[in-house]
Amino acid sequence: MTFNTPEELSQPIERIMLQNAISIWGESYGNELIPDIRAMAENLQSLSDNLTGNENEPGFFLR
Amino acid sequence: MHPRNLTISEAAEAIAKKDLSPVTLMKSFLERIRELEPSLKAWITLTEESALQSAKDAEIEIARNGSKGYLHGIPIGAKDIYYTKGVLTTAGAPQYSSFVPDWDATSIAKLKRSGAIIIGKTVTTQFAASDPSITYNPWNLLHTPGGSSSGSAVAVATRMCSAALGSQTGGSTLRPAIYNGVVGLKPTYGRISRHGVIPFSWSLDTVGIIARTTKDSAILLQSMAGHDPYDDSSSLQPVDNYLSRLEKTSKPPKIGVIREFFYENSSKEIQEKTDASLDSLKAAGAKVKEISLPKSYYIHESARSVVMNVDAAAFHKNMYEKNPNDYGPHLRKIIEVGMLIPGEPYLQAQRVRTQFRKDATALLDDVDILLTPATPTAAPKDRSTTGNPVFQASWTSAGLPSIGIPCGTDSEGMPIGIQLISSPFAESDLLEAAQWCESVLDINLTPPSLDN
Repeated sequence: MTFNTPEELSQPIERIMLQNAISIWGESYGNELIPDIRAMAENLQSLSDNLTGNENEPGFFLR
Repeated sequence: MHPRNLTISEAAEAIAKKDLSPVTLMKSFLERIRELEPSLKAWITLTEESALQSAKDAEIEIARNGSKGYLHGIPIGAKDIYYTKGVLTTAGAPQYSSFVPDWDATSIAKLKRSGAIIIGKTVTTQFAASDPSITYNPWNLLHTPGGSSSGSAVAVATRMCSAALGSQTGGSTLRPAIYNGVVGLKPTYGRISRHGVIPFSWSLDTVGIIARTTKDSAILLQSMAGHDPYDDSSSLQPVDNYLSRLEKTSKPPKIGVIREFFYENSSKEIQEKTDASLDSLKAAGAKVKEISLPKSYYIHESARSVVMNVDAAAFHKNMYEKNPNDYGPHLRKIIEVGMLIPGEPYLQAQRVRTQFRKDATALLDDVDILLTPATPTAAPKDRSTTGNPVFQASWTSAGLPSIGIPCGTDSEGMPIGIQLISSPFAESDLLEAAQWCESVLDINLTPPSLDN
């Protein structure tokens, strides 16, 4: 599967990263990076999903 | 016994008694290098002439004043990311293909002050990342030697030098050590200075030691450990006397075995060999307790990956922009993706690492050491990979010290091992337990193609 526009990526962070990639390297190479962007976006999403925002007690910011 | 088959502690004893000349020892390693290097490709640069001269100098100095200690006259290899004064230091990269530092990395300088002789620079994957190197595994040329410290592991396994320096950002010391049947030690983050070590990730990089025995790895650690004003990440924590601890009679350790995740992700053969090792350790008196992983374990790899990519991008950005085609495909993608990661998740990733470090340290509240299989499988029969670092990377990310020791071979005759982990700066406990396990398991592996 190939993607041509950032809008076709499901996660906001994926779209942001792809937009950045296209602005740095252009559309062709930016699109080549989509599998790697997607893999990293999963890591970023995993971090985001596991953070509670509770900053009052040490260690309780993780779900 | 042929001098090159002696461990460092055995060779040091023979040298101190003047039963062995450092020149004879050096020549025996150089002879082995000439014999095997064409087929194994473990070295980038050999410093044969200066190493032989240093061995002659050591011989004279020992004859006059006696030996300085365990490392006096001992040939050591250094991964080609360590600055070595007057010696080519390439990082396995075209960008550094003609770089000759005019000073030594702190770790190299400390080894030299202890009397060690740098015999040459060993092959590293490009910038100690994951694009495979040219080195071959002496146990089977079709299998990966591991990486990124490929040359160091192969050089030690094949008796081309007494021990060698590696480095670990994920699993780059323990994994190649185990794939080649030798010992790999990753000390606590900050225990050894990284001044003069070409970085991959400032947050994760740790000087690594590859040796034939736990005691030999302790000898190198003793020489290099300690604060360095040139490395802000190096710790002010006092350095233990690791060697005196190893000379005392050890009592069987209380071991926390982690099967969760590690057994789910390893081959049946690895599970069986680990269990067989545990049975032997229990029979010799070790107490074994099952340990569960904290929730932070399951997101630490995401955090580690974010941190490693951003750190690599930060170091490489200028070189990358000049010529991206100089990079291998894996490292290039790491840098490029690292350039795209926003600041907020990077900071959160660092916080997750801090939490995992606390949680991982707490796992050691009721046990002396943690034990896992060292690797999911033996060295894969695939030279396009350096193998899977997942079993070592968590402890690297947490900054905890870990050691891999061989525990046998698999059905294909490839080495496998166990990994031990202890609390931050508890290297004494780690080494004592590892030496005890090593003596109980009594595994001494030599690649099958080697004569004496």
